[in-house]
Amino acid sequence: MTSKKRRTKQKDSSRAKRRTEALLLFVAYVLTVACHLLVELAQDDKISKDTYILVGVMAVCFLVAHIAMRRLAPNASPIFLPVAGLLAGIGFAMVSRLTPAQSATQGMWLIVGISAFCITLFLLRDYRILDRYRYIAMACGVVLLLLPLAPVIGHAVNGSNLWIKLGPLTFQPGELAKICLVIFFASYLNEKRELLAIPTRKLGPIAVPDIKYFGPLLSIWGLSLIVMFLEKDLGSSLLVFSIFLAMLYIATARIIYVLVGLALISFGASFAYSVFGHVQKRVSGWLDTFNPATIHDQTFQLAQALFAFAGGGIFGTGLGLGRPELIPAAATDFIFAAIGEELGFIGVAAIVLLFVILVGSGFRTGLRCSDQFGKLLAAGLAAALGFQAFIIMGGVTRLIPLTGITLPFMSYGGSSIFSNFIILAIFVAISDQQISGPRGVGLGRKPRMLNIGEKVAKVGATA
Amino acid sequence: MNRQIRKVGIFIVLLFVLLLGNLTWVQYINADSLNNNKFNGRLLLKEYQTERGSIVSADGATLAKSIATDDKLKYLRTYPQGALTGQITGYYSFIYGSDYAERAFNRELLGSETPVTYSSILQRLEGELAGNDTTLTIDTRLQKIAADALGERKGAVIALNPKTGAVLASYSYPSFDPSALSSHDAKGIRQSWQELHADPSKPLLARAFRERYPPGSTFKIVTASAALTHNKVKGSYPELTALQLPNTKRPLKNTGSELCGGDLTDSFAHSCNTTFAQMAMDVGGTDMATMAEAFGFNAKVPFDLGAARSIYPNPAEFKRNIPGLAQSGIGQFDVAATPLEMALVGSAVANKGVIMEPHVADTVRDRKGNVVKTFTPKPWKQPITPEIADQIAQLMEAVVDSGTGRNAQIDGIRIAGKTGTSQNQGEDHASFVAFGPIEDPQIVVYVIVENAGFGSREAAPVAKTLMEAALKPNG
Repeated sequence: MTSKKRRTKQKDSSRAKRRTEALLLFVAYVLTVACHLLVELAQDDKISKDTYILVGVMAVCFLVAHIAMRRLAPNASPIFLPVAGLLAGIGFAMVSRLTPAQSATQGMWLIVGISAFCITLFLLRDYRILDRYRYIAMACGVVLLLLPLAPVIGHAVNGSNLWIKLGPLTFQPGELAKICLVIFFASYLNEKRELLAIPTRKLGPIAVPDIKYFGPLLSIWGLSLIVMFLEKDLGSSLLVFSIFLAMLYIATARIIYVLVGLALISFGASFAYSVFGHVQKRVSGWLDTFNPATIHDQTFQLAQALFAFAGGGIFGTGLGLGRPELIPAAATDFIFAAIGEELGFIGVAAIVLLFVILVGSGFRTGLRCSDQFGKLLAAGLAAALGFQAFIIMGGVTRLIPLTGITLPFMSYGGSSIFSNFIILAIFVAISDQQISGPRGVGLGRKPRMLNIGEKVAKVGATA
Repeated sequence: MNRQIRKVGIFIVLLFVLLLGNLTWVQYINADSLNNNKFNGRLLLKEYQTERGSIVSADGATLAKSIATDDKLKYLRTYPQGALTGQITGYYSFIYGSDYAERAFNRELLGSETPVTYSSILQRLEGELAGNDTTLTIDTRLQKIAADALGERKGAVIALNPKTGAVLASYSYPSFDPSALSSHDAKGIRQSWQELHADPSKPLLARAFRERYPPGSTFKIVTASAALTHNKVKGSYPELTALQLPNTKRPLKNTGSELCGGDLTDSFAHSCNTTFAQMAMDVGGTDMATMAEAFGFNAKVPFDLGAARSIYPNPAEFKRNIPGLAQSGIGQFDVAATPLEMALVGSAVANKGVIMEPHVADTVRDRKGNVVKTFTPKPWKQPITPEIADQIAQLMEAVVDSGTGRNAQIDGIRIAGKTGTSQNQGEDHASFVAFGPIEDPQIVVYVIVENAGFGSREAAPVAKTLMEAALKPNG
């Protein structure tokens, strides 16, 4: 196959992808607009002029993101943007419905998020440049993670120190720290993976590397303990550690790291449980949510969330027709419960499946990526997104103890929206390059799935 | 590296599957229990936004009705019959929840039972869907007569149709007016709740089906049934004033230490304790317990308003305590029955040995009068054969004709009855169970008057008044 032929073929395939994306984006846009109109109608029985402006602005946002894709990442998977757009659209409708006063702010943040998406795509024409900033990423990650502990700018909300305050602006740096840390992990593990994987002895069927290679695991464990103990932020602590564990396993294939990691985190968690009252409260509130002694204060929020889910049932009460405002913090950590009430099991199951598609596409990008760094980066970010969504959705449905983190793309809050759109841009950047590597970089491996046209062309070429 | 990526991916997908499973549990399987959790304010808010259905009696009187108000809870619950049917309708309080019919038929009254049709969906969308009206089997005319006949004496009256199990009247004194508990004035509700709970005569307690009394001699129906079923009836029993029991110095006496005995008919008509104590010992503890349980003792009665369980002791206890067995044969010792249970014992005799499920629910209708749901009578237990039921009915007829129940005689109608005078810590409780007409029983009545003395003098006239009103409506 000549390189010229290959280029034309790729051009065709990327055109098809962008057409698919445009169609999916249109569906996401229609659903988003429908959600907003329903919310508006449920409240006022009429549609205000602002809504028409909003509908127009949303169309522009979807369009701008799509054009950015066409220009900057024409070969990328057509799944990422529409799925994230739909999640963000439903989340935005829900935030507007729950706290109309915050609707404008959330809208601004979404615009900021989409701009961040476009800018990241522009800067990351080749994501491999991230590999060069390994130690900067590490420093940024650690500093951002620990920033809320700094005097003056550190800011506690609801007893957890996860915020910084700069003038009128509050920011949750943990969300950005997550991205920096994944970049660092990917780059570090890519370089050291062979070293870390060398088995020096056997423990039954399990290969065990030299003891000194458990160092990185211990360091990250230490970092998550600091977050757990000093910032009282169970969610972020658990998240950072589980992302690292997943990436370490992907890089080395050594199950022993996972086992030791789980032992370490259980040890840390049980230590935290015995030392901190708030951890004990979390656990007892999880096990005994409907205790009459605590249901009016400590477990009130979780109990209300469960009542909301049950009240929604299979089909939900309909947008704007439930009582999700009875759940405290419904627009941030508990947005999933509010959706569960108004859109019912069908609605939340759809949200869960959207996350499965998004996370699955992230992993798929990792699978199809030709270089090891990209694989680790995509898989790490997919794991981050998956774990975060699971921790909060599992928490509000009482599957696991509740820890306050945001639901990606849906919760109210700028830091979360901003960071998640950057993650989305990195996925897109990696998936863009999996077929058309930049000049000079050949395909490490042929993609697993070629489309029919490509196959036919191939057969034709050989014949 | 791809193998590990797939594994981690599959692991995360499994986590999401777990999440979907949990959502199914929370939103579908366990949703009812969460929705009915008493801390769930959502339900109450929703409930108070819909116009709750009325509770109507069989003769068309309104027992409970919601009227529109201007305050936040859009409808106020009113009870036109007040204390007369207070223990049937129950209350509907936004602080203390609800009880009796308001609780038992909550779904029906809220309209959640309405089948989903195109028009009901339209109504629901337009917020016009009101609750359903629930008609009870209670007849307010009989209810009023029962209340007047009992008067201001602590006790209970219950009347039911033996062929269907439909409860026609159920009253106990003292009763309560549910209006005060169902108002929208939180302070007033709390105050009357505390007063009702502080009252030693327990007005909130429906004695007719939630209080247990020693049944006394009315229980001899069960003893006689056991003896007839197991062929343990002797041709005649000695005339005694008291029966000497093993391992105790206290003899078991007849009422007033009278000489009493003879054949089964005489012993039953004159309620000889000595005969039935002997009979219980002849039958034996296991068969006595089996028969009592066949009549519904030790079982959860499927009564829609929720009834207390009646008790017959475990026969293992009698191995060391034969006097206990003898005492149980005359409805004493640890035997305890609700008035409802004793009425069901009577209804087994009246209905060829079959006890129908007792109920007050009759039909559920939507706002336009269309029937949404109907209660169909269901048999519950059959303790005795139709032949034995006939024999017992004859024994009971003799009680009214020539025995202790003469006060219940009604001109021109054959009545069967059995008196009871049960010992307890205070003065004896007076009780009476009766049904009529014997050839085609329409009504079973059980009356108990606490600490009043003889059943023949205190309880039988109440039963007579009620049966006369039911069987001779124009007389």
